Amino acid sequence: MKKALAFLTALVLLLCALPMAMADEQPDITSWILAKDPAAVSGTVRFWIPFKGSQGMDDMIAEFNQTYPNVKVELTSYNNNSDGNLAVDAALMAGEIDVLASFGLANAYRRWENSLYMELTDYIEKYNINLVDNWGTDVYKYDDTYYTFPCGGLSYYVSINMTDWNEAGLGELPTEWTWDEYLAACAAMTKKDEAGNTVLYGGSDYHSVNYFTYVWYQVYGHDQYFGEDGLSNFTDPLIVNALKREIKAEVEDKIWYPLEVYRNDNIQTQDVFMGHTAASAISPNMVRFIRDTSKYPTQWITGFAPWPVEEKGQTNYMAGVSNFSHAGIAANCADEEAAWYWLAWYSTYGSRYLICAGHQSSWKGTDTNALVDLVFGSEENAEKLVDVESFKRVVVNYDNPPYTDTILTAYTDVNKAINEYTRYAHQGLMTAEEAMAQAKQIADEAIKNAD
Amino acid sequence: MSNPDLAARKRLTKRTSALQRQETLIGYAFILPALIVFLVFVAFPFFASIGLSFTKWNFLGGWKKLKWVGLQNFANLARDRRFGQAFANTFIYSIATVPTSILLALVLAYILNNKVYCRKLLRMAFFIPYISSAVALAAVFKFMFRDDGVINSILLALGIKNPPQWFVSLQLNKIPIIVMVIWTAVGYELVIYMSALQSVPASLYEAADIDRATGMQKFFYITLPMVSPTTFYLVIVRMIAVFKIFSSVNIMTMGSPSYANTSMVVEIYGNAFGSYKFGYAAAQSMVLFVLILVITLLNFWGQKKWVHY
Amino acid sequence: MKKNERAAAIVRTIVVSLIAVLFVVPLVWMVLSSLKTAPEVFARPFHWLPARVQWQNYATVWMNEEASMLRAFANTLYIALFSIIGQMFISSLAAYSFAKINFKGKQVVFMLFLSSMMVPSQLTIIPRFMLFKTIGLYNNLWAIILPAFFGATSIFMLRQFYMGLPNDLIEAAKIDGAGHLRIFLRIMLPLTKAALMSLIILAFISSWNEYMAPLIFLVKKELYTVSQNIQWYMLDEFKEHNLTMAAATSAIVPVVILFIVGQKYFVEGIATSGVKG
Repeated sequence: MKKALAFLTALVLLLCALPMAMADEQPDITSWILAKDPAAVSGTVRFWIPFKGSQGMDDMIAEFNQTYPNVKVELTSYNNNSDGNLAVDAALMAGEIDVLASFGLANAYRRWENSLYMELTDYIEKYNINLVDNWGTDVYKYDDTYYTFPCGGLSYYVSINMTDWNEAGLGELPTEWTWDEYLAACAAMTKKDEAGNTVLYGGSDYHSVNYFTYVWYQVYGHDQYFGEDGLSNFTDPLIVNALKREIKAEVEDKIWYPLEVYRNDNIQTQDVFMGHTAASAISPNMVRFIRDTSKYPTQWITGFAPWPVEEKGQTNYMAGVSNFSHAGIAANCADEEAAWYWLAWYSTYGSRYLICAGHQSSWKGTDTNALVDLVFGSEENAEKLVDVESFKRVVVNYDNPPYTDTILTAYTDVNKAINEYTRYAHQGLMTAEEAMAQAKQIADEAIKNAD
Repeated sequence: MSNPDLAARKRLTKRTSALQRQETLIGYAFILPALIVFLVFVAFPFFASIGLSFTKWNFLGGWKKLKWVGLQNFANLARDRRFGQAFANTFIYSIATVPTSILLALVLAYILNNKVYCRKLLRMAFFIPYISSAVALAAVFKFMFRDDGVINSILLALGIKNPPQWFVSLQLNKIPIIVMVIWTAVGYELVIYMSALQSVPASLYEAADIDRATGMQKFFYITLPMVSPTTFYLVIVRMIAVFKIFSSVNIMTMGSPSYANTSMVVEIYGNAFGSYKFGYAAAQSMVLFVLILVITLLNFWGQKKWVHY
Repeated sequence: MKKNERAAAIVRTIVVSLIAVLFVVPLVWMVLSSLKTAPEVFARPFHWLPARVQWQNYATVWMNEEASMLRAFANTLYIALFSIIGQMFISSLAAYSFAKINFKGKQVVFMLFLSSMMVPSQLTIIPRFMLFKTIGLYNNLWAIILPAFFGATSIFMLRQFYMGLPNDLIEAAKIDGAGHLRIFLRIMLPLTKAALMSLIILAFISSWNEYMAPLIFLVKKELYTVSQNIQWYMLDEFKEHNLTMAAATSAIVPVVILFIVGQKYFVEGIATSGVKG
């Protein structure tokens, strides 16, 4: 009898261990998400995110309500600019937000730092949530405490007007290319009038000032502003050359839409690309505008090429889906239970709807095959707007390596310095070297004073 | 010794002093509401601002995180390239807009005060920009001066091959702001000049007519000196207004002003509500205050000295 | 001689009209752009007139749930109405007291009030922001209204006006046993109607066009004022600037109508506020 019992126990143990052994290859990332009895959860969640209901958010909430019929999610779409984030901070303090998606690390960090988000430590322990298994990284914390899940991501790519591309005889879309190759393609697609004014720009960097520093991410995979010594990397040849390259393409060669026009005339990359002022453009969210055929009816098909690399053969850390948005519960939320279940669902199953707004889910359980249908309705619809093969290969490729941020010392000041001095270089007030040297001086001082 | 006279006087003073006390009480009661609002929304914030300028603070952390930094904010001001330029721009904007708009307004007022058809309609044309929403007008000017805006379209149509990029060019990007400031100020100045001109005695002009003075002479020898108090007042008012310029710059540059056309208040706003450097922004606002104080004192001093009748 | 004068008048009219046209052109461009489609606004070659008049731009701007001009009008009118009532009443009371009641220390208080003219509102806006956050007035229309209750210019101008009124009126009323409050309400206040009217119009304009304070204190879309709404259209990612111009036109038209109706008060108000030298 005893032997039989021992055998039975061993068998049970073995059976239990079996899935655990399998879990080593396929970690369990779903069992923590749902409530035991979702229908029993009720309440209201005030959810703030920069996207509008029509940009996938309404559909996302509707799907959530199929599982949680008694939780009401109230969506507020805020502006992700400085005025908009001021409004968010004020609303957070006033207790008007339950769950918030912060966009960009600087905004998230500020809210961690000032305890505006609730600590998630208890939940992570209680449900044994593995952040790396779920979202690929566990570096996004403050003071060794997790406040948010890094569930939203961006993929960075070049959107290409295929009509212009083919007209210039550029052949197949590249699967890997260097900056020089991209610039050569831009030069080939650029059209100028007899006076030398550019009529159609071959390309464009994103309208944010700091995008040239992403070359650091591409090469090293982390921390665009910081070198190995923990100080700013602005005088590194990699950064300075990237800036020079950009200025040359915009100011001298006039093959890229110029940053200063973006900044001064309040124009954004999608206006230029979708309005056919540029034949190609670097943007992490162009898909949002491509799918919006009522606002942006187009006569062409958009193809996608990966972020250019510095040198052929390098690992391209800009090719994957990197974390960009961070969702958490407000420290003073009204209904913690409902807020938790919404956060858990949004940061996993729900996050795939971010693609409708041009962003990405960074949850490892996301079914990438379903994304084309989600964005464009069907593969058939997609073919009318985009080159589906390159879309799958470039835009929603979750297997490529992403970058991460680990150093956030004096982030606001460092970010401000580079944004200010980059423009001086673009404006011709100083050379790229001078501008970066001065930016470094200010940034390093802020870094040293931070401790 | 009793002195009924003295007693009566005492009673009287007592009564008048009681009456006076009552007057004082009522007097204060009448100004009390204004005084309260003044103390809460002007005096307290003013002194708080001074205090804040010696600290490092942002509202997210609450009062606990307020940190005293002494004069560090002011030391940092000295090296702030943007603020230095904003400070200089303040004077450039003043010099470019105040004399031009005032001169234009005076000439227009002078003409309009003579016989003119449709005077009211014409006055209205100048006046509407002044009373219109600065945000709406700044949006209009922003779009008109855009690279692909109507002004460049007209220049192209006139055969100019490379019309300027108004907002991109560091040399030109103050121009749209300057034009808008002049454009909105003229209406106000015009109305004030028109009423000032009406108070110039007609007899002076009649006397000049007898002396066969030309229109020009009348303008320079009678009109200009007679309206000099108004001119002086307008210079001061307009300068202070230009020192505080915000709406037009903020809208036209939409939060990312290029170095060359930013203004002090735009910098204060950006540091406080964009970067959450409230202490530093308070220090910047102290500079603005001192500047305005100087101009106001100049006003008191100059009113006695510069104004001739 | 007469003929000459008429010719001179015609010349003057033409000269001034030409300059006036320059002043009106941006507004004309604004109105015409508000009736175009979005791509037409910046189209090359440029046309002044819309290919087809797009009245629905106004319907969009007024009814758009995200940034409705209707709601912005309601908010802005609410702010203007209560700011004006409060400022006029409080300023009249204080001005009467400064002009007609004798009491110790009034000169000091008056100078204090006047000195506030030197303190730009931009200087006090950061502490006010903190104050409103602390007392819960942040994101509340009253955060704009309450500070407007104090108007140094209004107090100054009304005081001048009260000083011009004869004291006999007060003495006579006092003999009849009337107190200051009754004298103020029944006799003096009605006499200042015209002056108040001018001040009200000036206060309305500044309230209607206020930008910085709402930008900082009213960050909820439901509370947006007219100025903020224009900015919202300008910044919206779709960049439909025909709508921005429709919003701008909507903001300016009421003020222009008010001006046409109350031209006399406008001009008097501005002239009296200006000429003190």
